[in-house]
Amino acid sequence: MIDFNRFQLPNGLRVIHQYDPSVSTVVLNTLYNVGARDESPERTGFAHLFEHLMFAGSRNVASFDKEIEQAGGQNNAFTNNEFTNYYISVPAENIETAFWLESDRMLALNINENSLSVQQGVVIEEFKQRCFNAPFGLLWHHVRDMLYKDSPYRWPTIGLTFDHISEAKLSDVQAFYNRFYSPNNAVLSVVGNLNLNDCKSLVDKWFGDIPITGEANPNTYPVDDGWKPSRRTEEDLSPNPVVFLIWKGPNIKDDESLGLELYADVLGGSEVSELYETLVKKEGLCNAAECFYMRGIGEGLFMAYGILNDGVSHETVENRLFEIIDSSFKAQDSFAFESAKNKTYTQLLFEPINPMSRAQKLAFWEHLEQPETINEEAQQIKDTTIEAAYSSAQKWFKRDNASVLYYNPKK
Amino acid sequence: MSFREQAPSVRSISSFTVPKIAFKKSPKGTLYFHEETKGIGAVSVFWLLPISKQLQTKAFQALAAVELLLSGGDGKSENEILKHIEHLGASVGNDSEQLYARIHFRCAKTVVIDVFEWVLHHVERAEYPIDEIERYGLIKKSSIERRMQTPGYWSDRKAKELLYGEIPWVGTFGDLNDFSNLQQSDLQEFHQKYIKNSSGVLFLSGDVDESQKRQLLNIWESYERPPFSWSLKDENTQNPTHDLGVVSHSLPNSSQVSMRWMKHIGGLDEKETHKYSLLNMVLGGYFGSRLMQDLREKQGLTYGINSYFKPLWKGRSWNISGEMNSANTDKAVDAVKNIIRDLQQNNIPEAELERAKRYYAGMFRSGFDGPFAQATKALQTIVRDYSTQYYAETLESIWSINSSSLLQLAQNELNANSFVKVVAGDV
Repeated sequence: MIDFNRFQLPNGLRVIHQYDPSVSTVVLNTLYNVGARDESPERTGFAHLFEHLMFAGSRNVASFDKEIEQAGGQNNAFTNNEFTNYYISVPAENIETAFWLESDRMLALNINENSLSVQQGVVIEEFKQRCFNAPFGLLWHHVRDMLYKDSPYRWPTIGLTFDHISEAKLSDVQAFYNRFYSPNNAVLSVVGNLNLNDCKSLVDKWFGDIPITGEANPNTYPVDDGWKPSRRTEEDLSPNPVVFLIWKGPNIKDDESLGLELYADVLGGSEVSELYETLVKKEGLCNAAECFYMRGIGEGLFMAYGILNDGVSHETVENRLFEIIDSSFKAQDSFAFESAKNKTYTQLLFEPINPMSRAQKLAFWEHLEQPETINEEAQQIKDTTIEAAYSSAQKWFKRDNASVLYYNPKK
Repeated sequence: MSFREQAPSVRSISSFTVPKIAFKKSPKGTLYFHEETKGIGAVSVFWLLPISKQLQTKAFQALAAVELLLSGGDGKSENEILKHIEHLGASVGNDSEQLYARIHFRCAKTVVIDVFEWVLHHVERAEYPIDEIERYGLIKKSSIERRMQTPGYWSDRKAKELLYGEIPWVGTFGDLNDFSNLQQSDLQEFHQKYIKNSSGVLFLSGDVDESQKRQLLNIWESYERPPFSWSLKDENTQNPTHDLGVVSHSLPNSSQVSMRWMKHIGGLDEKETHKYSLLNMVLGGYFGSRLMQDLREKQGLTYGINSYFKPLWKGRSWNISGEMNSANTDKAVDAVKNIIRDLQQNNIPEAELERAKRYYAGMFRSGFDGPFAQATKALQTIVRDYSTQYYAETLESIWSINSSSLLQLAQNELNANSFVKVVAGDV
């Protein structure tokens, strides 16, 4: 049971706090309700580029990182399609430094041509490293492009092309900052060795006078855009051909999504799953086979894939993947389903032990306006029945709804 | 003046009562570490085996022997063994490091005895079925092929080959046919000689109470084991004595170049390790380091460039690595040389050194947070052969380091000519 407190400042900043005197640090985690879904199609990758600029200093802070390091702490951030999350972990005695830094960049970020130009260079190198120099680096570009037509979900967080990164202008940065980096569009989670009274005092002192600069971004996710399943063949860095089958599914707030996650774990979540056992071990068609369900905020996504052994055709593996999935609906494996529930329950025991993951989870659920979920997950797992999970799977994962992606090694 | 213009005062972590890392011995002589955290319901168990690549007679023999420990035996297939573990909600894994092997699992408190009994039973009785070895070979081959498509793999491999030459257990690389050359008998012999009834150290942390501890020790001791012993061997490697230049490895059509510098550092006195760590930190060991600030934050040449030590046996390799546009390679090489030269010629400014020490001290203390942290520290005291006072004296050692001692260290060790330098990619 995670015992948390919540409060809100007059400027709209929502705060969720949890006191943990067993650790020596405090985590200050700030989630802004802005992500790649808020980008223009001509400036994809911008939310992530902006995240980099948040470390370039602010009105009263010359170097964000140096101040954190001086306080004996560390920090970083990540961006996804739905939100941008910044985190700082510092020794408890130096927590005020974290409040100073995080509030100063919310109040008055130092936006200038030099930092924009440097971070454009850094992000372009990150783009190349992640997308061109890593096996399957372009996978999510292809998958998103297949699943969405007009929605901003059709590009990955890193952006469609690094030309978009290099074309970003200082005026774009300023407008983005004013629009989205406003206290009423953020959730602050404070977890660790800081009691509630001290937390409230520090939040009031450092964040209380920050004015609202833009409207809160609504929790809406534009995913329905007349999509139809499709097929395509692509080349990427990969030594072997691959077959991917992809379905859309319900989002994390939907009761069905947990059952689908458990179903995917049974079908292809480990080396003892049906998918792996059949395609890798018994039939020797693949050297890896897996499936998973991603419970996104906007939509869920189910992906099953097999990495082909030499001499095996895409068509053979595609057919077998479909057959295995189809037959799974009938042959409900209650032993394996219980195993999946037990594994998920054990993960829940370990997850909150680290203050950083606790802070991020609390911020996430507060962002979705249902923080109590963090204490309800164990019961949700217990309550999920095999019948309901497989019935959902059968409803969502029909052959006709699957998009099929063939991968070939890049020449 | 706004209160925001003044940075809040910051305290350095100069003292900290380090939790005592105490190993115990069971009446039957088993060396173990136990730290209980009541009420969390989560348990971590691992055991250290004094086996590693240096014992192998064929490439990947040690790795495969460890990774296939649960691949079947005593009438049970891999599928049956792993399914039972999953049903208990546990996750099991293994590491095969340069220095040691570790088998570990995490589970709920309620099932820890069942999981341990089951895992240990099958580790001891591993038979390495031929079909599992063949399948494993295919998977590993594919995994190596994937890595071989990246410049980072080749810069690491070429640097290791240049520096360590024919020492087979130093490199993590191998050739694509190595796995198909592994025979069942290779793995069974390795198991028989080094794993079955092996000596080892048991680490129990999380919600493991005294009664469970005794049961776990009884299970462990139901297998006859020799006393645990550990010694570190010297690599006997020489660094280059003159500039070898920058060695290129061509990987056509890659969009970036991976640059890697590498040199060998022999066994160090405990206090010396902190000096090396601090100098490395200033060089490229954290975000505020000179490499990151200059090449990333000032010039925007790279997403990341770091320096770090990689443990070998008694010694370690000192690495500098980063990826960048091939047109910027010369610029990056020159920038690294300039940073190194400056560290050899000038004292690190006090403010910069103070910041690095504060960061180091902060990370050191927070490294003891959480119910599983001490077991990890305890593991390090064995594998790095630290004295019982190592952690207790760490903060004092960090704060006693001054800039002149780091200048001397940089002059002795941080010579650009003593590093092998490789760039791999479209060069």
